[in-house]
Amino acid sequence: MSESEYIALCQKGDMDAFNQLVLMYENKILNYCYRILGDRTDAEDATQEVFVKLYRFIGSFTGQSAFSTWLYKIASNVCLDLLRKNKRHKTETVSLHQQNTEGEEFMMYVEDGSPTPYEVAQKNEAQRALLDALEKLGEDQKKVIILRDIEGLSYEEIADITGTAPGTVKSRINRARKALKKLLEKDRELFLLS
Amino acid sequence: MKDTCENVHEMLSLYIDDMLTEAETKQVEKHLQTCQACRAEYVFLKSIVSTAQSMPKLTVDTAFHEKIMENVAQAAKESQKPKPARKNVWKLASGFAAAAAVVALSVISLNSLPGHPELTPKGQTEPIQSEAPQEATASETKDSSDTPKKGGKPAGTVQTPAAPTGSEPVLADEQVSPYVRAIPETQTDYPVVSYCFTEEGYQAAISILSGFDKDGEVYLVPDEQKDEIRAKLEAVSGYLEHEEMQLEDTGFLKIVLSKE
Repeated sequence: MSESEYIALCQKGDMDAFNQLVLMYENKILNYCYRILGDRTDAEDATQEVFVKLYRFIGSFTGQSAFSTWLYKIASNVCLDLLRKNKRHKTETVSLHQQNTEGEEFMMYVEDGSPTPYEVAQKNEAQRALLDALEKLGEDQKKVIILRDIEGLSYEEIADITGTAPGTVKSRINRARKALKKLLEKDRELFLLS
Repeated sequence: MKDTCENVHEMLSLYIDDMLTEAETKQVEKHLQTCQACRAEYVFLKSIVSTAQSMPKLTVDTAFHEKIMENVAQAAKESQKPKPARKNVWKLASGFAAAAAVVALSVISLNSLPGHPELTPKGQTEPIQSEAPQEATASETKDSSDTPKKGGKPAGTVQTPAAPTGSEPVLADEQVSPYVRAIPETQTDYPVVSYCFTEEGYQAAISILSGFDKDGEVYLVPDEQKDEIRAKLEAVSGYLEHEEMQLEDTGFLKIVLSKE
């Protein structure tokens, strides 16, 4: 059965079809949220919320855009809200004022004794270095790198999800990658070896 | 574009994604063949992209999947409960007519869905009975204006509790699904963004949105101004959070405001 057939069934109330849609997308959404939020527990909470929202709003999906981009948009919004909530409630023991690659001020919160954000064991040093560098990118740049290079979405899909023009996507990806290259210059050898 | 190293650097990202024109691609490839410095930059950048592409992925386990489905089932149950009473009592009267129209509309639109033979025999004049008529009875005076939207009795039965009789259509659980009740009556009624403020922020938000058209409680901001208004609302000192459902483009950004 095709995805659009499942969606049509969901809109008529078919719980089995909804179950199928969840199976089709839960890994993608979990990983996307994980990369945006940097914390597995937060990513799991966000993913749960994304699919409850999907259930509540699937009746209003008209098929004008692709279902996957619509779902990614929901996930982006859920993550954005979670990031905002976390910013307000976080108690910092040490905070460092930093400037990210888009010239925005951001606070790096360091809590005593807490585990580093990336709990998944990284295959190698290059990946760890890349994730550290990713954290230093501005929100917009980080998002396009995640969507393009980690999630593997097309420029068109990214334009849809982020609500920006395709030209903007092109230049944003270009600038983000350049920024990453600059941040990773000191680790160049790690990348040339892998 | 001239074939300088600087220009080629600018094109490397698009080259890696195969997003250049044929001419541009040839230009870059030709340059890379002869320029070692640029080739090194290309290899480095390509390697960064490959590293990102092969990032280890989390996988969902059965327990997590089941939790999703449980939460969804919970949400389904909650959407069937009668909504709390509206504070504006005078709105009840106008609510009746609207609600009755809504019931008719949703019954008709359900009947027009293919593959629902069990609904059509019930006809277009009879409302869908909610599966818990006792609930409707108990809260009839409070919820009369709202239960019809959930597919319950039309508002006109406020006075007499609607006890199920043999002549009324009673659709079993499997026939009327929770999704049906969760579908909003009309797409245009659906708020796209719900902003939540403190009391102070709420007042500020109202004044920001004061010039715009309203459809009930929903502010209609034309697309050209939506980014500006979004930024303004989020900059308000009493801004707490917002929930956004980016639905299809209607030419407007629809905003509702709420207080903490």
